[in-house]
Amino acid sequence: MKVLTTPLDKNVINTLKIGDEVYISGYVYILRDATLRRIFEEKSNLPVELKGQVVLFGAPSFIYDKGEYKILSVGVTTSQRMEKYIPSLLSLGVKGIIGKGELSELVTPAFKDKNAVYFLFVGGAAALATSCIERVEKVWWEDLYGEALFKVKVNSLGPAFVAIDNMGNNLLLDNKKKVLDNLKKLLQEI
Amino acid sequence: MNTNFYEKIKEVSEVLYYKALTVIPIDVVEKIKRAYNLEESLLGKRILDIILRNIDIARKRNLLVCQDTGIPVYLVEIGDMELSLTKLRNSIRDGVRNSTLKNHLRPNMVHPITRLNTGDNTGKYSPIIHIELNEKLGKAIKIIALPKGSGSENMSALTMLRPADGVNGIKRFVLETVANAGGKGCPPYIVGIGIGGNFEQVAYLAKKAIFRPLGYRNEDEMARQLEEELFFSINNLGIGPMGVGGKITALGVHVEISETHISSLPVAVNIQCWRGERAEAIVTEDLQVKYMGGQD
Repeated sequence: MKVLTTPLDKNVINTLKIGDEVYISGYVYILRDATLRRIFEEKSNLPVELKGQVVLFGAPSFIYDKGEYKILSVGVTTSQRMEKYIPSLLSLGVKGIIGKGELSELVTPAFKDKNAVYFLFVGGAAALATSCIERVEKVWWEDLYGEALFKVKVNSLGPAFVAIDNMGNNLLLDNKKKVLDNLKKLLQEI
Repeated sequence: MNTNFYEKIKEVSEVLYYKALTVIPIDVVEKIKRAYNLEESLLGKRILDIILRNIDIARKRNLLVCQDTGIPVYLVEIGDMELSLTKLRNSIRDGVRNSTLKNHLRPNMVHPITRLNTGDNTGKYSPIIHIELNEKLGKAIKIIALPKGSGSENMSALTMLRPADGVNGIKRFVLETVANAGGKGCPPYIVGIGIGGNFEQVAYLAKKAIFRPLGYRNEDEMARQLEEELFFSINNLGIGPMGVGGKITALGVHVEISETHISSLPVAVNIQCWRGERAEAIVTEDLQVKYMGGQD
């Protein structure tokens, strides 16, 4: 078990291999579809520096009470929907992405080029993720509801698993290839 | 029916929405535990362990199991009684709205093009309500809430096969659809398969198949055989929990069959994630409510 702290250090990233189980502590930025459209399609100025940071693909439900935001539930969403923006996100200096589901061969090289890592968090395990959130530090673009940009402090967020490492190894894609081989065999047997 | 009845429907619909998101049905939990015992992939087993822990945390701390509050779908079975469908619809819709606002549930429902959010999970067509008739209920109705998450819903598919494609064509389409879903829709899955009917009915049949609790087979011999065969094949795809590889890809496979046109063979596959969100209650004419299916 490895505990990683954000921003992610280059030397730490070098030690991560696909299949490793990790926990993340420090600040994590939560964003997804609409947030990314705002950054990369509408070209709105990003209100915060993401160099070295870890982002989580998700849309929390939250309340604003006595001057504070409180996240009631957050978990990971399907990363593949965000593929279009991943190379650009990594170009901003993002070093870790937390999501679920495989990312294709189209974006895998970007993790190698930018020395970044993709973490698989168990999809649907929001109770677990939510209980790792210490507090909400800041929220930008609230008009996007759950798809606003959230900066949260997390304590041992995990377990998460390294699914793409900085050598360009891709755990879920490797398995997907096996699945397609299995599919071929099963279809022949029909 | 008098006003009290519809007030009760509203209250029950409200409770069921939240319950489905926080308490996983006992049949689903049991199947995940069984999957944990059977899984041989170390990573897959670890993931099933995390899933079980998550279910436990949600129940004990009254947290949502998954952040996706879904698209509210209700199946209402009406017994041998008279009621106003308009009032029934309005009551369920009010229940969804109340549950969303009171529990601060994430509002998911947006216009498909402008992406403007309705803010309370209701709308012109939301919640989606299906009506079935079930005389066996007597003077009562059964309400099942299934706030379906989008991760798995997005992996679902429908095709209009040719009659000549036959049962093998059906099997191929199901396997291809599940293989394509891979780890993206949060496996292990409950796979709902609709066969026959027409374009809209086949999609409903697939949805209806995932409303069925795990452990119950279709009474029709051919449907049952298909369920068993496809359950075996799907688990041989090797997708595994969350797509990391393993022998557990499906918790269950349910098939629903309907008559179709002489020149049609519609097939729909509705993918349901491991959460298997479902909460149900029976409301009698004299306002007795019985909640069912939870772990408590």
